[in-house]
Amino acid sequence: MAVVRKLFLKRFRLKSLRTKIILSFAGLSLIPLILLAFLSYYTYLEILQQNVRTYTETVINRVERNLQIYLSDLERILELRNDYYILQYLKLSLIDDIEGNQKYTYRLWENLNNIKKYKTDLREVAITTLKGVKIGCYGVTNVDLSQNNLFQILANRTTQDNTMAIYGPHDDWLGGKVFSVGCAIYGDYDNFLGIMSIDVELDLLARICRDIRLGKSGYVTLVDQNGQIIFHPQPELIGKSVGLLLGNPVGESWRSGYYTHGNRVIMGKTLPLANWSIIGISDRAELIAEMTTVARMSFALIVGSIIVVILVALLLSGVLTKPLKELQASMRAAADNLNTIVPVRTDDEIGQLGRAFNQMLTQIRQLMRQSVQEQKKLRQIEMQVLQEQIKPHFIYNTLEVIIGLLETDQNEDVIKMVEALGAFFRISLSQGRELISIKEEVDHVRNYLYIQKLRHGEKYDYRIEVEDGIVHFKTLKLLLQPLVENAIYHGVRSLVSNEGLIVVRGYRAEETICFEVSDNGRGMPADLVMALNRSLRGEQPEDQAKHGYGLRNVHERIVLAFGQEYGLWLTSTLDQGTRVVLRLPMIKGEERVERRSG
Amino acid sequence: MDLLNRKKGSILLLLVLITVFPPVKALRVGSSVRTRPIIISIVPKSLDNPMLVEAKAAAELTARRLNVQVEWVGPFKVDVDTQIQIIEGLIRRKVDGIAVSCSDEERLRPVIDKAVAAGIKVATIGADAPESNRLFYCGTDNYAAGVECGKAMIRIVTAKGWTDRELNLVILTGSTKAHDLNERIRGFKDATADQIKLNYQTLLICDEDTTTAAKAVEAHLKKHPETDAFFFTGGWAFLGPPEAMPVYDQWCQNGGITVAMDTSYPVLQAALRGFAQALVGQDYRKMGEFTVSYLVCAIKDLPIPSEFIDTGLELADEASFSELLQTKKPWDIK
Repeated sequence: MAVVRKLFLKRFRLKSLRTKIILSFAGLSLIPLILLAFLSYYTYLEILQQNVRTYTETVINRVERNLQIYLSDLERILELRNDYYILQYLKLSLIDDIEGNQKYTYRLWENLNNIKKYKTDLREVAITTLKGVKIGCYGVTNVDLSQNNLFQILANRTTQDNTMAIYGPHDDWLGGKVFSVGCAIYGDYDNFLGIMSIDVELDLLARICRDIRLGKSGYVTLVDQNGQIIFHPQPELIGKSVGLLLGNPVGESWRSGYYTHGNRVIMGKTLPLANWSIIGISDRAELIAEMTTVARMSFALIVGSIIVVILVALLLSGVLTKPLKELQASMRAAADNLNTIVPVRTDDEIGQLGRAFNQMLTQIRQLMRQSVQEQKKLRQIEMQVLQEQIKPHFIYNTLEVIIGLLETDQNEDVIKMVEALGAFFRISLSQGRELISIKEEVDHVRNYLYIQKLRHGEKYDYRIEVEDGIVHFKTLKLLLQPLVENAIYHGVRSLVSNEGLIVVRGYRAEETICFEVSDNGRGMPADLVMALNRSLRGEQPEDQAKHGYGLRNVHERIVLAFGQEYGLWLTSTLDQGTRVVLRLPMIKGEERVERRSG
Repeated sequence: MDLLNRKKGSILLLLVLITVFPPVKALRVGSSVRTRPIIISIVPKSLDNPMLVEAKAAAELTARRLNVQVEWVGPFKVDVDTQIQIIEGLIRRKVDGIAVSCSDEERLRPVIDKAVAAGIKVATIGADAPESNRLFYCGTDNYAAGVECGKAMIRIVTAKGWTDRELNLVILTGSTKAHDLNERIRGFKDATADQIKLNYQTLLICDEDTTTAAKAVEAHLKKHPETDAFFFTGGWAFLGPPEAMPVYDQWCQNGGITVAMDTSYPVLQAALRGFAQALVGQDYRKMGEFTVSYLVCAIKDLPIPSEFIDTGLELADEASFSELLQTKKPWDIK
């Protein structure tokens, strides 16, 4: 398990681009998918509920139409109540004319039995007289009118309300379950003579409603005006209160309208002719079950989509990250080998990145080469400077001066001279260090000037003015000595008068260290100054520069060490003197000399 | 006849007694006080037999006189299942008395016994179920009626001088399961045996339906014109229009012999037309009257004179058809 986890974590590091791509893909795909699934679910639920409602309504309307048609047929049959024989029978019954009624009795039996054959569900067609005599398909019986609900309903109506009445369900005397319809029969003077009634087998309602199903377990039930169930697919519930189905108290809302009660969806409609209610009862759980299927399908769709998205993301991320990985590998290789070349296969951003990286490597290689060359050059210049320090005639002349001093017993001066020369060489070598302190550099140039002053006598004087605040900063060694040498040999030494002066100044200018080496010697013509400055800036080929070899060495060393913004600037006026300004960065401690400029 | 007259006298005396001195028990059924009038239900084999209309009228008039209610309930056509269903319904309704005209005595016996067991006074009318627990049978002695028919057939055959011939005879009956009809056939056969030579060609069954009866006779004669004589155990074939039986009409004119049970108005009319040479009738009015009267007696725990209340026979031949017709009320039902 740990191995798998490790492998997984290794393969799918959260910070890796591939994982991010996969997560992005998954997120971008899943959010709309989940939204779509939710929207689809609720839209489907809405449509399903609407369909269930519409279907239930259609079914109930169909049941209503079937019942209405059937009841209308019965109403038409009951129109026969005004038949001559029926009226005669009723009239003769009123006067108890038994013998006179014989022929009508037989005729009525025959007619009523023929009517009964109109429909297979009819169980009895009968005429009931005011005296409680009922003549029907099974002969003549006596009824207790006070207990005959249908008779009572019709007897209490007026001639204006001579419509069909319905009563039941109830048991007929032959033991069958029936409901009865009937119409009042009126005489010539609108006098109530009796009723014509039809008993219909209750199975009729079952035949109309039994096979109707609302879903798998939904059904249609019929309830009479008193809330008694007159049809239910479970016969044992017939005759019971509708409260058994809908819970108590039932109220009246079930008679019409659409609502849910517990786990049931109920729709009711009242049959006007009978004042019965047709109620469709569906099982909400079925709806939910169907929705569960949809939800499962949606879930499966989402899960399937996630898998597909992840696979696609894996594939795409692989395609996308492969060049990046190659690039990464190339970059790693480039750390060890700058000659590495990233293979570029595409023109997209990754290809461009590869090209840019290759360009960068090329540039680095070029810079490296340049840097190597510059370092080489710097070392060469340093060597030259050092060689300049130990020029044989300088040493020879200095030793001649020392001998002369010894011969003249100027021993003190000899000691100073030897000390100065020793210090001069010691600082020149500086144990191979590139950087020395400004104090050492200034001491070096002071020793040099002291030695040269002893050699050249009263020809010139010198002054060194260096701010104390800069002496602890570092500088390349042997920068000032060549400038001072130039000031001596090209400035003040050839002056006729002994008024030559060399001033060495050191100060801080903002974030740089400046040195000035100025003399009041012969100076230079302007074109020569311009040529020298151009030579310093590299604007004039080196081989064309006839003068200023020492200046260029110093300038190049500074530029190589600190960059183009540093270096020398030369100003000079013919017969008035020359001034060389040297700018250096402020370097503290043992910072290594590195090439700073681009 | 004397016996018959004595019986009539006894019945009338009984009726007077019942009317004037209703027994105390008559006011009670079981231990509870009666809150409704006595109900007697008469269950005929079918409603569509107009011959029974006379019995119904007589029963209703008797009931009115005795201050009881009478019902006349049965299947429209002969249908023993419906008859059983109806009797079951009457048991549920707890009527006081039931009189059944048995279309199938075997099938009806259990339900009759059930009604008796339920405390209902049960009688049979017209067609008996002698093996049942019914209180009494009110109607014709059907065996005697059959014997009379046989005797009439012998007289006619003898008068025609056909005694030496073997005659092809056809019996038309309503059902093979009705006790009354079977008794008539048995009486007829017993009476004619060894007296005349009869070849019983076939037994036609009409389910006591008038149309079926006429059609059956017509069809038989078309197929068997050699038929010499008919014995009708009931008058069903003559209750329809005579024009519906042209083959039979022609057969009669050719000398065919018919003896039939029934002396009701339309049957006598047909006989006068030549459709029958002898008739043996039942007294339907007495059937209705006596059945109601004796059931009321039974309900009131008064004695019943006999298990068999004989309503007598009525004999008629070509000489008396016209005279007898004068005594009948014309029917105008169809």
